[in-house]
Amino acid sequence: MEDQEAKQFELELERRIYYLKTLYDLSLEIGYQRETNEIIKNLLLMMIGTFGASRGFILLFDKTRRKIDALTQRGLTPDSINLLVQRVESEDPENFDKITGIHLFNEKGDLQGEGEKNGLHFLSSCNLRIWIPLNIDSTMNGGIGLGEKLSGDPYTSDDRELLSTMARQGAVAIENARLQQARIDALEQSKKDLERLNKAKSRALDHLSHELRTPISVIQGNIRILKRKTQNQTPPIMRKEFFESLEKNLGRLSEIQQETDQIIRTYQEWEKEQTIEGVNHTQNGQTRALSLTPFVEQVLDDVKRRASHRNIEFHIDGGQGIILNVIPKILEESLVGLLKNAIENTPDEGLVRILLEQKAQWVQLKVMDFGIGITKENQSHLLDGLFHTLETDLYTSKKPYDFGAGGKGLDLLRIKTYGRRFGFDIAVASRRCIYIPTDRDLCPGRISACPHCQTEDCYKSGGSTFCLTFQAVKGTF
Amino acid sequence: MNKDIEISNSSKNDVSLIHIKGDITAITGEAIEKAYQKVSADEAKKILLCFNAESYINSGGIAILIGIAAESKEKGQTIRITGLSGHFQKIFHMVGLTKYTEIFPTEESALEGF
Repeated sequence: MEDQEAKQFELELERRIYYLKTLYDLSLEIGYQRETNEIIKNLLLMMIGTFGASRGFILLFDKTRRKIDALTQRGLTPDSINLLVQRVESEDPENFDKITGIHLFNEKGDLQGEGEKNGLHFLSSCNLRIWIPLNIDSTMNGGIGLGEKLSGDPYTSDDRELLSTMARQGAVAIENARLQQARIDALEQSKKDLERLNKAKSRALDHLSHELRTPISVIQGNIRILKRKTQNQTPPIMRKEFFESLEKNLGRLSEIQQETDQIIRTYQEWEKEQTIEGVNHTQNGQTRALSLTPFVEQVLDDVKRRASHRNIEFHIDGGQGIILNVIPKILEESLVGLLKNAIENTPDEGLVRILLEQKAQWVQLKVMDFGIGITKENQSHLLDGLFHTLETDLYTSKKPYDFGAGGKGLDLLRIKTYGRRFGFDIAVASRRCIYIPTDRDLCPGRISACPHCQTEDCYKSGGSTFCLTFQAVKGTF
Repeated sequence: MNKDIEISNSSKNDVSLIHIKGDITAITGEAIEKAYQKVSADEAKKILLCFNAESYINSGGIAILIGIAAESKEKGQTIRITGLSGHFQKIFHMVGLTKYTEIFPTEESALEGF
């Protein structure tokens, strides 16, 4: 007798271990699953395997659409499934809300207890023994139906408890998957909206630029005629001021039109590049190996000449022995663009530093300025083109390399385009000067004229670093 | 759980053997289903599922085996099982799989009188 009891105890222990392991395995199988159909398929299989059920199904009902959203089954005949689908979809969705708790069926397939009143009559085609509701959220619910056990044993209260726990685990996984899917859908929609808006922006600017060209030319022509015809009609000084003002503003309009046109072309080129898959970067020009430091020194000397009216200190650090495989013209244009941007954002008496370094298979070229920096909200749009970090009405100088003479981000957009085409990356890190936190706050353009700081303080108060990252030449890392 | 499973087929006299090595779950179980469908297509009537004693079989895998056992009954096939650890022999008995299949301790004993 004792031996019998011991065997019974041992068997019960094995069963409990198996149930616990099932719960653990279920969390592994469905916990990270993102497909509702996969979740219910695994859940059903694990329930069937745990209890040795002869057949079973899981259905999810979308109450809003009055349709079955997902259905998985095992061991049911096609006829009984078709009948189930028909009955469920003709059901009043509110009936599903009435189905609460686990329900048992007898051997004839009739409901035991008050199931009929709870709207479970649609299950009569399935020859079930047990029904476990699966409540997901206010728009979706469903349930799990299992047939008789192969062992012939009835479903015990322990079984019902375990089934209920497994169903809750399944419901959480389905809800998570649905939330995740909703997030992905929303993100994809936002991306599409943004792309559409961006295209609309490009088209509008393209149109504007094109349409401006003709009237500007007409006005320019008419001013020339007017100037000639009024040569003797007004006092020369008044006439000169009048025409100078007209020509200056018209010239500015014309420049805006040309810049816009350039930006549009660069954008279009960039968009075209984005659609080309698997571009072989090294074949887009005459790539050659060059020694980085002498090359950068040469470019810097040229930039210094162009910015000779500015009082800025330049340093080059690192780079000894670094060889880079690039198209020299592209590297030169990119470096000139970054240096120009750095100089235009650095006050006189300030510092621009070039840092060259190789980290494993990457070579980095950093242009660091200790100037006014860029506000956080502007940083994310910096490489988009058609962008100016200064308020338009504060934008006065037009001379290249002057302090605050930044263009409309065209140089940076061009570098980004080059990067895409020739296989290097551009990144920016910036901190806005703490004394002029917004775009409307002005820097005097000379450190000694700053009411807040002297040279060293200015270097610490803000600045930007633009970093170009290239693949190092094989064999050098 | 290991997601890899190795399955191979062989035959001895009129018995089709399916050798299974690895953990058996709802996912890997699909490979066993395929192997079973293959031998069924060859009109096998006697099938021996040879497990590896170290294999772990979870409830999803057992559900797949229940499906195979139910189908074999409809097709008039006989399925025998060997190579299961003591724990899984008890589980197979508990879930009622032994009503459709017979479990043997060794391949030789399973083939005897099959």
